[in-house]
Amino acid sequence: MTLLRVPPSVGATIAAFALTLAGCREQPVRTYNVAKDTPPPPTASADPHAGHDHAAGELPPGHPPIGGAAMAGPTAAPGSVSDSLTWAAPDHWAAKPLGAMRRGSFAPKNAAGEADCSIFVFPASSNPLRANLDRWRGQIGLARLTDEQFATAVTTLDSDGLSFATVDLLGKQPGVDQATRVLGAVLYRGEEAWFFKLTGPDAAVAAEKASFLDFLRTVRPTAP
Amino acid sequence: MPAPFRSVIERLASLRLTVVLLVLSLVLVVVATLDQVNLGIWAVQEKYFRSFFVFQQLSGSGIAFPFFPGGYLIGGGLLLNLLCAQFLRFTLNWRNVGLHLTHFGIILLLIGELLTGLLSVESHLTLDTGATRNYAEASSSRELAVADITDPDSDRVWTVPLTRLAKSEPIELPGCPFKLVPLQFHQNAHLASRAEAPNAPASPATLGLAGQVVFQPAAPTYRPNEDNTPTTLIELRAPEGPLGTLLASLAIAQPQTLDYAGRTYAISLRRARIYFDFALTLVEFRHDKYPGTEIPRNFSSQVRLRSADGKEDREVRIFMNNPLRHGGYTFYQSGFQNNDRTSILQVMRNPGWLIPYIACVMSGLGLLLHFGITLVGFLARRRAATT
Repeated sequence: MTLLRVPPSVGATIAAFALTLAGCREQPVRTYNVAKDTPPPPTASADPHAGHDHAAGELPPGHPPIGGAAMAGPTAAPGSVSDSLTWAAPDHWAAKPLGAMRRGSFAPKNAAGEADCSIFVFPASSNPLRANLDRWRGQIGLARLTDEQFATAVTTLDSDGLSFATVDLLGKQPGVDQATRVLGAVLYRGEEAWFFKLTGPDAAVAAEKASFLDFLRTVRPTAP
Repeated sequence: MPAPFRSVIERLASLRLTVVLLVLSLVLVVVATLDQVNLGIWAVQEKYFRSFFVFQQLSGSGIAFPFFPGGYLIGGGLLLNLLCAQFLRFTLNWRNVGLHLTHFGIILLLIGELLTGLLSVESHLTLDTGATRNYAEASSSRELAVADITDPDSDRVWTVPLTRLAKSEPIELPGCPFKLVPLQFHQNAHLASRAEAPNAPASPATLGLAGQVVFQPAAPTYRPNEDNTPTTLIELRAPEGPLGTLLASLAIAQPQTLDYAGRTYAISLRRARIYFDFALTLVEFRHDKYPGTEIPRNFSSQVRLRSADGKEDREVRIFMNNPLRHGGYTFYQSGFQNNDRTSILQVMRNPGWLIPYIACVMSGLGLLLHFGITLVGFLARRRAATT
């Protein structure tokens, strides 16, 4: 028994029509004018001109020359901090030059050695906490968190209306003999995810743990 | 009616076709539900339901072939089938009023779903206390934005959907002095600063952050609580030659700027923006708890709504089950962050949102009428038989 007796020509027409529709879904480039975006809270890098003199066509430090065009990264000038948050580093933490993505960079030094403290900001939407914790764990040879481990992995530090998710991780980097410790704190603030990370040899970082937690307590939103 | 035309209508109105389409839709729902484990709900909706065909990629090749009818084809088939049946069998008889009403309700439901699939957009608006925004960011759509930010008052913006970046064809930006040539596109990638990954291979990027950021392509994630980080390498090509290569990624929060031909351009890969002709300011977010407990009682956002033309300026309170409907958009209280100082609103634009309600009322009323008329007829016949 034939279940359906649709003429082949009708079937072919419907199929061709549907396939044509399916193939015509390429989205075009959109063009529009929009008023200047002024989303608070402002950050140093929200202003794409920050730290750069475009009128003079100045390149950022260390930037390769580009024929006919000057391209500037969003970084603040070395030594500056974000406009969105401020912090006060302990006196014995030497400030280091900022890279393109660091908002803060310090070298805590003590008798046990030297550590590295970095501060980054990324979009909160694409930086979920767990993925970041797994990334940090992976950097020192630890396995990804299980659901049970994740539930207890984070200690919350509340300070001046800000809520940090902090972790203390100990592992070994591939190819490195001594143990590496990571003290990390993640702060979600609006659309921004702030990452504060102190890493280095276990003993050097362990000696700075109290200073690191005190340092987090100095983090404040910039007054409007 | 010409005989060949009637013949086609009769075949399209066939009850067998109805059954075949219903079975196909059942299979589609089952397969799509099972595939949610691999793809997550959004990708499944696009692949199975909001498509004419479900495409399957041949393993080891870039060739995709249609292997099953998609939601649009099956739904469209059912709609055509029902319309043809109505066209053939419609007779204006009060006894059939309920049936007709029910069928028209179903037709409306199918059309409503089609409109929802084609026109509805879901996005989010994240507002810190005191912040003002006139746009929302799409939940699942990303775009590459090139903005001419030279003028002090407004920006000229070109946005390129990521599907275009996945192809290696040059992308012309109308009115822009350079074009984009996608060199690489990754649906997901891990990014790190050079300082964090000193041993990573050199980045091919020469502009903007250039070698200061390294990336590693990663397998796309479909977990509902994770997000992909689309990343692309694009060459900017001016008429006189290439300007250089730029790394753009959702993980690079701020636009990278380019000075060229006396103008400044900001380039970023971001969540697709949907602009309103009004702005919302978060006046206050409240997270009320039952006294003496941590149990939430209420989440609400007090927002100030100002239209672009200045005619409207009012405050509105958005809370659970009490969204703000304005300008074709509906704003629901969705979440909060940052110790209750940031509110997240879900923004829905669905021009056909009323259709399912109307369709269900029509169908329900139709069934009630039909069974009512049948019952009355049955009771009348029984009374006549007994007397």
